[in-house]
Amino acid sequence: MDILVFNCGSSSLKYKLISMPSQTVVAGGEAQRIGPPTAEPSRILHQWRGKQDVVEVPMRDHQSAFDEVMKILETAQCRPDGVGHRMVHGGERFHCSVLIDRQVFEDLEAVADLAPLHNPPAMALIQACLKRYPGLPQVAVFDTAFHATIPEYARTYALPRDLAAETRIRKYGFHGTSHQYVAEQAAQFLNIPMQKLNAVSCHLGSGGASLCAIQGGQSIDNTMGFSPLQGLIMSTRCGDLDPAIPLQMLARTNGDHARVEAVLNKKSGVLGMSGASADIRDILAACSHQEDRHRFRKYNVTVQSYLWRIRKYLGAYLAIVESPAAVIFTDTIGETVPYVRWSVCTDLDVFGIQIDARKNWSVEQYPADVATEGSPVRVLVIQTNEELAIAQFTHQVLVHEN
Amino acid sequence: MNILVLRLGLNSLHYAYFRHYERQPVKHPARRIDRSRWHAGNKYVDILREMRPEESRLAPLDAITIEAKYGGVMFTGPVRADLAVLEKLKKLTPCAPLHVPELVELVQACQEVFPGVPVVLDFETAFFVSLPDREHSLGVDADIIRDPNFRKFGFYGIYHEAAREYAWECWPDIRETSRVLSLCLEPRPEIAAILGNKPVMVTSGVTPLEGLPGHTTCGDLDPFIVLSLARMKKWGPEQINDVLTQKSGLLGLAGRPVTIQELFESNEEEWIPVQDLMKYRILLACGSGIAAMSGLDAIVFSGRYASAGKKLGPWLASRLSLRGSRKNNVYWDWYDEPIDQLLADRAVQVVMTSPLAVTK
Repeated sequence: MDILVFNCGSSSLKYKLISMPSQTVVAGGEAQRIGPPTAEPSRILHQWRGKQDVVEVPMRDHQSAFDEVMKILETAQCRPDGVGHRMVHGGERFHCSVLIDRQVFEDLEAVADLAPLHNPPAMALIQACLKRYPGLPQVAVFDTAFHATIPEYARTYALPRDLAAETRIRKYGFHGTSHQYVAEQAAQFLNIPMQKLNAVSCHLGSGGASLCAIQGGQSIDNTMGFSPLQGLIMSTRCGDLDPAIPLQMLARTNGDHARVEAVLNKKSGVLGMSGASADIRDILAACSHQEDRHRFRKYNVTVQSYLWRIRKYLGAYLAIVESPAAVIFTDTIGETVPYVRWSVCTDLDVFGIQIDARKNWSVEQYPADVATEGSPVRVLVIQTNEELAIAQFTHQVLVHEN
Repeated sequence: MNILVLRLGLNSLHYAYFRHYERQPVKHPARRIDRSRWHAGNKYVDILREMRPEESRLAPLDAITIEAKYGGVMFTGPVRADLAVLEKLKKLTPCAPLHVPELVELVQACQEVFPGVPVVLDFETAFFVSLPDREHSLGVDADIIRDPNFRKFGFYGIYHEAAREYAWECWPDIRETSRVLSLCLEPRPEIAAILGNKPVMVTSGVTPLEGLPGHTTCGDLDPFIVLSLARMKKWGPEQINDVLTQKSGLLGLAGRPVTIQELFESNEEEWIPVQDLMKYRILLACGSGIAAMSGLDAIVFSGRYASAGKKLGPWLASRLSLRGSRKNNVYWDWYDEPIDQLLADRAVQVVMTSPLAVTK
């Protein structure tokens, strides 16, 4: 059974056609730098039969990225038996993967506005797939599902209880598919059962990013909250912010919440702070050769604040996870930017973390352990494979349905 | 030296007299005048005139000190309020529109009713002016926030400074590394991580609304929640503000008013979920503070509910006795000097040693 997996990130669209249950990748690729212009052009990296093609093409949104990806797949005569979609937000309705029917689609629409950067483009993809492949089964796999185990004291905001119940405001947590996947890989690497794994997983993407505290193989906290806006400083999202600020912005815009939301979701974070690029790699590079003092200061504050927020959350989660075995770094930034791992982990002996500079700067294959030999807590670099995880969930649902 | 301590609340003026060499309030316990008793017009002048006979029975005042909740980045320590200071203060009005004009009016009233008596302004935010950029910066468009005052502060700097000094007095062996977590247990509790003598992390934000939940304040929230309340409930900013500042926190969670002290000293089962939530938030913040300082030597509780530290201290110290800590053992204690006393002590220092303003 060939499963076509779509993973709609806030600035990327990853896709893979995976043959199940053998887990053989037939074709795949990634549309990168979708959305606001960055220092490098938008492009699709497509892999098929051991070759990689790079197609540079403007992609202003996920719909246009989808059209370009489908053109490439059709040329390669790739035809899936089922489609798995990464859905960022399942609200309180979805705690596991589901086959998409009319009722599910309506329920998905009801929670779409909880993740305005992700759910609407994924919904558009589902509709586009329905048009292109009518009758093809589609499965929704939720980022929130892994976090269903977050205890009440960690998922509750200090709001009036009746208001929270009425509005269903609580922490949901996100990036669950990735956190679960890398946690399973870490358990395997460390040779301990998943249900005994205590760790902190750092999913640092080029768009969104979050940390997850894992106790006994289950999520016990995630830096994202009611929506994917909370937590770390991300490419265009502000992360944690004093509630008085959106309130003040609402007052200044005469209650125009859509406008405020657009600013906090799409014009803040690394892009807003630096004023130059939404990609932290661009800002890191610019810092090293910036001669304009004003710009250097701005870029430097952006980088230091980005790293600091990760470090503080890492400390917070290492305080709540009992006897952590590992800190896991994953996704684009977590896997490929050693400076980030170094800055976040250095001088954290207090938590039992000793990162090895040489190993950290010379990661050649994954999974990699970049901690010193004597470090009580291992520092692992693990490639996430959300697409494979989604294909596995999709396959399970389709087999069960059949 | 006789000191009059004044503290402005949103709806009250609190005052206490101190004879400094006794380090105790003189004759009268600290008092509070509610807004309902304020007169129209020159309210502070009238209030201070009412207090005047009380003061003259004691002895002539040597100084008046006023707790200032907010001083922006301009005020880095206590100052004697002169004309130049008042002009600088007035410029901060857009950042704290409810507080600064009242403060200016109070200073002017003091100068009118007690001519010649030095007036000291002691800023709660001063200690946090030195927060590193990476800690006080916000993840939003830098061009929107050109005002240097639009940044994170802490709002209990006087308690935190005193807590750090207390830690040095109690445990001289920590002076070399000096990594202190200061937990100020006030109605809006605040945690600061102090490395050496400077703060490197604080839970509050641009306002005291961010951070730990308070008696009626929500603390940390996903910013999207504010926008969702506007959309789902069709509430305006004032209604949302009212819920987040007056009806949330421990009140919203417990369903009835409760102080931090009552919460942690209670064994009532119905409060266990609220205790668990607060303890969890405190533990998370402490973990962040330890990462910010790369270690931990001591924990000090302060504020009007400092004694809740009796319950929290052993639990927190055991949870935070981490691998790299001082012999896997963290010192902890609570420090219950009242804020009035701290303000009086600091005013004496200013009047005796620093005749001029300390401003940037």
